Amino acid sequence: MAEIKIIIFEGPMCCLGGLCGPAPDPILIDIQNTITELQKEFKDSVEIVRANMITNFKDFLDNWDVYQRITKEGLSALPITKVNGKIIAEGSYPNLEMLKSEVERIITNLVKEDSLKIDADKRR
Amino acid sequence: MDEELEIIRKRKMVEMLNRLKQDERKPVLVRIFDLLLSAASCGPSGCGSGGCGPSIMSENLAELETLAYNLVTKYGKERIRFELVNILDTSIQNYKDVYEVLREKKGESLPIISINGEIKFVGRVPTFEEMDRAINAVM
Repeated sequence: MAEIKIIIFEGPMCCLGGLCGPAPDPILIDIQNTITELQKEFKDSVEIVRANMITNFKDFLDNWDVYQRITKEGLSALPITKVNGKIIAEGSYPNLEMLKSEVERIITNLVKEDSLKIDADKRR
Repeated sequence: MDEELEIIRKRKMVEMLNRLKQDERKPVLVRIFDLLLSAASCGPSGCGSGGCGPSIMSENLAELETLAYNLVTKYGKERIRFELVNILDTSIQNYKDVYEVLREKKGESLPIISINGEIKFVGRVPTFEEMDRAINAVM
């Protein structure tokens, strides 16, 4: 199971992923590339989901902080990116660097926690 | 003396009639809270031709429309008024009790229907009989 879960909440788009029509938005191509890169680098330890408003609206209500922002700022608050429950980007897509550093930070913390646990076990 | 009484009686009657008229003018307000998306909100870039993708509105809209139509047919459009509130709209924050239901029941809560400001149905489209009873109770 992935230790790190990234969810990107997106506004309504004409099709899943938004890469449709004669002129797909370059921003959407970028985020798809970012996701692919991240998945390649961290493999199974990172799970990335794009929550589409049309098909996954329940995800928006389940993440109350995300819904709350929409009701305050309107759809312009989207896209919102959450990493392990924490909002790290709002109003625009995060870039690869941003996501990478957040994932690395979490992994470092997890490793620290693990080694503390091992130390404690040894002492027992 | 009799004349004075007559004047008072007439005045009272006019007052009463006015009150009745005012009551008639005030229709029952049914608010429907649901998720509404339209093709107009298609994509950050839109889609050139405009002909792509689904134009999605609420899943319940067809059912709600029939319900509203049947109720208006029975009571007349002067007696009953419908308002559709998109839960994505910032105005949703004005309806504190609805916001609370959404927070508690999440996706299970839609649609939410209130009658004269009081929440009556949560998470489903009521039948005509149920709505009829609820509306009759406040008329």
